[in-house]
Amino acid sequence: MSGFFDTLKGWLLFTEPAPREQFILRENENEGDGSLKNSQEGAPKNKRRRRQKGNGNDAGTAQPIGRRLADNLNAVKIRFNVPTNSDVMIREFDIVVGKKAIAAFMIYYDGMVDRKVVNDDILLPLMLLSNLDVKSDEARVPVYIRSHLLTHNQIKEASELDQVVGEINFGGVGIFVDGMDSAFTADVKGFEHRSVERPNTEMVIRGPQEGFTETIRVNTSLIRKRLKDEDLIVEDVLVGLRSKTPCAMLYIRDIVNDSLVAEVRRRLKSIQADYIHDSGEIEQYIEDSTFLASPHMVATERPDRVAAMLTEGRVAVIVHGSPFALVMPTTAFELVQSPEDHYVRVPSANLLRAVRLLAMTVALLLPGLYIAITNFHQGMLPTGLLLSIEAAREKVPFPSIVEILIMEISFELIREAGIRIPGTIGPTLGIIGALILGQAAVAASIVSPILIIVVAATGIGSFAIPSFAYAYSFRILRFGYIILGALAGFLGISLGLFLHGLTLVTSKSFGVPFMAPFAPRTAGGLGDVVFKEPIWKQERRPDYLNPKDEVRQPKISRGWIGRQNGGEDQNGG
Amino acid sequence: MAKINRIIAIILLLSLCLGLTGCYDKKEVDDLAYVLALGIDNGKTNTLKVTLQYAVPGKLGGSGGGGGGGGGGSGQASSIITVDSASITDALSMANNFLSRRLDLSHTEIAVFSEEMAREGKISIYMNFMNRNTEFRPSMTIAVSRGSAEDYLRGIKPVLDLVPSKYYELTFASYRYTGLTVNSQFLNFYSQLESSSIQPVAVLVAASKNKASTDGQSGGSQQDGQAGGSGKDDKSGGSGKDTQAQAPQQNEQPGAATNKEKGRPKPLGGDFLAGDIPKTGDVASEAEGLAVFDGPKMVGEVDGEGAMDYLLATGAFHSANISFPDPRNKKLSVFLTVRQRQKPQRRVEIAGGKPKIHLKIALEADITAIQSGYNYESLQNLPLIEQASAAYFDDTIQKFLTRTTQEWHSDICGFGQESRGCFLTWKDWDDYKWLQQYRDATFDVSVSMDVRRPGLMLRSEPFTSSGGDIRP
Amino acid sequence: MEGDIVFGSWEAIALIVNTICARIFLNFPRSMAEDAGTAGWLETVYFTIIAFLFFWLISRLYARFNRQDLLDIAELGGGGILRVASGLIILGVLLFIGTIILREYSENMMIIALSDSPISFVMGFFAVAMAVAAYLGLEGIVRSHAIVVPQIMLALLFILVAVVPYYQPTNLLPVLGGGGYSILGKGFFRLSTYSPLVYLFLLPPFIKDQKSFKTVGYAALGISAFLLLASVLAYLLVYPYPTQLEYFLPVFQLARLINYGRIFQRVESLFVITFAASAMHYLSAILFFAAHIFKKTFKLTHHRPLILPFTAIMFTLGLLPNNLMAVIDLEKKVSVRFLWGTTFVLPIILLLLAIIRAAPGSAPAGRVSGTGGASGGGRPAGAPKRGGQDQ
Repeated sequence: MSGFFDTLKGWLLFTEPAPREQFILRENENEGDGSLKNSQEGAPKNKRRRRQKGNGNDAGTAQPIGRRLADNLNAVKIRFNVPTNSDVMIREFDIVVGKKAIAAFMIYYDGMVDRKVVNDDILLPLMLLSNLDVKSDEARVPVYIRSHLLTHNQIKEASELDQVVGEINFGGVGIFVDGMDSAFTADVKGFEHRSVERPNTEMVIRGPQEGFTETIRVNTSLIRKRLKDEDLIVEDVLVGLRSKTPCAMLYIRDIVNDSLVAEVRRRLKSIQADYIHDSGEIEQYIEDSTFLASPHMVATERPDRVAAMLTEGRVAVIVHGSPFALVMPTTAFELVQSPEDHYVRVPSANLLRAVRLLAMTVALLLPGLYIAITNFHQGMLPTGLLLSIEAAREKVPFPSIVEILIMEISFELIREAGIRIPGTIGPTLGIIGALILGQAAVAASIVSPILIIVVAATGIGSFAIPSFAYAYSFRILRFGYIILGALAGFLGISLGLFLHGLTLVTSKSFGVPFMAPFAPRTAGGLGDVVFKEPIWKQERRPDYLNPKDEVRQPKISRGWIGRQNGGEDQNGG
Repeated sequence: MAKINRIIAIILLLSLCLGLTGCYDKKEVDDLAYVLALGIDNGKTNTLKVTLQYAVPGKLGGSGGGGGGGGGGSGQASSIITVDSASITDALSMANNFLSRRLDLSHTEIAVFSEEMAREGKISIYMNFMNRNTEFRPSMTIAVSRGSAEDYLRGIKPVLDLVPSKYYELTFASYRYTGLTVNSQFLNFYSQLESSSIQPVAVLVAASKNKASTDGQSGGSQQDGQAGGSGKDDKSGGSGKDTQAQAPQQNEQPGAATNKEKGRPKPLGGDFLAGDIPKTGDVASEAEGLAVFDGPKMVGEVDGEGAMDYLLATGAFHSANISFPDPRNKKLSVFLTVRQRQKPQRRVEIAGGKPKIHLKIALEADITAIQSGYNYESLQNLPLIEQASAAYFDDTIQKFLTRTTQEWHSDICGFGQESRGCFLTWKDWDDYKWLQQYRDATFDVSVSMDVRRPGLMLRSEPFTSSGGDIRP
Repeated sequence: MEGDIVFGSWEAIALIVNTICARIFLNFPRSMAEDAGTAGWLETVYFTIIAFLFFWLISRLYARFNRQDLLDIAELGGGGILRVASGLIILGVLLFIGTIILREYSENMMIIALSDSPISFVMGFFAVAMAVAAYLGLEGIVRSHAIVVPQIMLALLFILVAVVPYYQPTNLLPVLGGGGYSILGKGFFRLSTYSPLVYLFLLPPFIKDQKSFKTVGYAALGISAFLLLASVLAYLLVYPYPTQLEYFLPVFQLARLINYGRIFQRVESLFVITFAASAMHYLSAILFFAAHIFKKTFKLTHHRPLILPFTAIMFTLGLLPNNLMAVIDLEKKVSVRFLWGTTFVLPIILLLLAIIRAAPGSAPAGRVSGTGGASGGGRPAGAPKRGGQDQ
């Protein structure tokens, strides 16, 4: 209790605040000169070519495979960011052909390939069976290896690094042999399928139907499978002094802002907890503000959602043992978006968005507004409606504030019980909830039927918010609005909105203002903030993320449009 | 750590606020009784006799399972009380001595003043209260009742609407398709009271005088049918209501129509003042026509047709059914549904100190009926009815406007608004003293009429019989 | 900490537009009618033009100074004494306005919605709002402005458009209304309507450069001129001349008229929300700047400890006037007559002094603007390009 008085004292008296550096997501300062000075790998990586996404024609810049194995190894390591990227496996070995021992290595993503196939069909023949006496007079090593040694069924020979990388990214294995200016790739895909199920909490009608599992490698491979991009970095961090829970930070290296990655890494590494079990715990350790009602990062079960957000320049954290990935930073507007918004067409998506906006308003404000209107501003109701409300309340003994609190609390009870109740007796709860609390309460004149409608609409509204954590915040704040509405009607509601808004605009999620891009108003369009623009119009990544590569697609991303216009011009001329 | 304490502190302070302040203005919906209509008469024992009609929502039967009056018999969802008091606020306070719920004026649809008060010019005394109070709606209807306001309110027993408020809302919006009353909202009435360029009007209402169908007066064919089935009502309250209603009546008979003065053999729908409509039925109140004011004082009353002229001249006209004598057979009529084609063009010029008012009214119409069956639909004959109807309007509007200058000396149509364009500053205009000059105003009215659609019939063919064509 | 805050033009525009347009919700349209009758809109146009001229002049003078507010300039012009003097003047003005407005808002709120509550209870709501906002700092205040102000303005425009059926063009006649003097003479003092522009002269350290200073100024003037004019026109068009003088909450009176069908009517209670939102933002800006100026005048390091005392002062002083009429009269007498001076004349004097003092040696001005430029240039190069991303 003394602490409480200290707090009160702290409000009245002033103490010098301790200077504390705030993390602010700045733009990349090295963007101008094109070199990646602050990449943590050191000098050789500086020459790494920034890949231009979206222009398919990069034959001129394609990197051929050299004859020297060491060069190839180096090149591959640069491409795959090997020391950082922990799920890239490189196995070096010798192939003995005849009298010669030829150095070779192979590379693949752990978790993406079928190990048994790699061991039995690739390593075994190359390392052991090459000594068998093969009846062949083939002298050229590549042809010999291809036609005699590699027993796997799908082998391709590639002369360019990009081809190999592409194969590896999608669950292949690349085999480089010394003295060859080409490499073999074998399709040995073997990510986990078995345990991947539908996401339970984020269902969509249109769109992928797989969700994360509890295994970190499966989860990373689920993302890797979508983002076939070697710049997708999976960086391992062990969190928990005793538990050493493997966590993976995912980001796309040439899109994401470096300081954001550094900040996430700093926060993750600074956690001094002994055991970490779930991403929900990580979230609480690294979030900016503990007491703000709304969440600061997206927790999602959907690999496609994580993948889409990574491509915008965000960082994802996957925790071993949790089917929920955390994606950060986020803004208030993204929490309202559903992955489905991107998969359905623009008109439908915008209808969904509008419905969701309505749902949010209803979930947050409806009970408070009901109290404010019926207790303070009776004049604004149409006479007919007012009289039906009055008629409905005629026999209710409680004041409406008590009435609404009773119903809201019992609704929370039903909701909580509904989650805990074992599946087999689930229907009982429906009967109890609907009949006893709804029907009987009205029949017994404990509450008025109109109030049941209000509470039900509030509940439905909160279920329509895609982010469960965000809906929680509305459920909490709703009670504040009820009290304020009962205190001073619309004036109370206004005060609530004002203070709520202030806490939202002053809070930040990993250096990104929570109400961006509205406050502060950032440059760039509002293409996908409240309502959604056509997908071909969303040309830039969100500006508040300050990504390295701002452009998502060129001005004309539908090639056929341009061509058609050209044709028309010619016809006209 | 400290943050937890901070949260506790906030919660404690908030609950402290709750406990200390309470909710001063909190009024439950069912702590209030909503006044739907307000009637104000000169009182017998006191200055005023205030009649309050308030909703009784319990009678709505909305409260689900148990109670509620299912039957239609006792389903009056409103009740009326009358209090003799010194003022309206006093009346509310006095009423709350015997009504459990606080009377609330925020849903008052109509304020009715008695003609007697209006003629004495006492309305304005109470307008100040209505304008100052936030509860009153600006869209509240201001009406003047021929006879007592109490009788008018008591006569309203809406059979179509459960709650009288809907009755008021719909009844006083009916001018949009009848053209026989006006929409005299409080907002307009009040500002016109103060204005030096326009004078107020109010809807004329009254308790019906004709409990049963009247004898000699039966007008159009519609009334004939009702005349037979008369005599069975009068159950609601025969207690001297007729005598009361007759008191301020100047006409020779109850139910007098104004058709005689206009030289019309039979009264049309617009030839009645409120209260005179020959009818029977449950609803014992009616609204038709206008009360004309000069400042706060009522100076005259206008029948339904005059109300239509008023609407046409001010541009508030929407649509109405009219009939006028068939140009080829004066005994029969042509019926048109008239709409306003565009807002009237009103122009005022001041020639030699006297105002000259130009009014151009553009109307369009659909043919509703041609009793004679004559083929007016054809392009050659169409101008006949167009000109006849235009002339009809021209005539009535001219007569109406002349009445405003000669009889009432009151610029109810607000030509003063336009006349202000002739002056540069407010002072110049004020010095001109428009409302006095208006008496000498002359009018130049022109009405143009376009018949647009003939209804479903493009050509009227005569009825035939063994004696050949019947052309009435 | 404030030194680090830099926000975009839009935030600054929203801040100034709201502080100017808060008058619309109070009594601006009525005071126009009071001055010039049916020609109130002409008066608005007239003093808007004057305000633009003044701002043009000031922004020309300001061109030499980069990221320096009025107090910095006062110090350049007359040393510490001038800084303290002008700081106290502005502080006094802000506290006076804040107090009056706090009381007026609360009184209005009581009249339109909470007639039975004590005035201190209603004032308490506003006081809590402004104290919390000022405590959270300028960043929160301007961001909240950036989001809410457009909505307030949309709501205002909605009210103005929704009463179109009540528009009566002849209500604007006679054209010149109260006559020449009432438009030109009284109208000049109505320049005080734009007095909140003084915040702009306190903002330069928070906005990026001289160019956005001008942009913000002109855009804020333009937007608020449009809204002021629209509200005056709507009010004059709906309520005829003598009646329009009676209502002291013109926009509320307009909102009361909105009536579409039998269901959508009496939305004036929603006006309460708009009104309260505008008021809370306005008051929080005033309180923050009062504390900020006090801090800056006396070169303190923190503004937060000042917030509670200032709130208490405003709250207590706000309870002093006897009645609403006294408040309105006080505001009319003092703020209308003198505020244009503190907003338009004082900056010009200070700027001229600073320029004159700096000119002979040409060293101080050069040095100062040089350092200003350098501090601006010290920011990341991308700063001007970005919209409102805080740097």
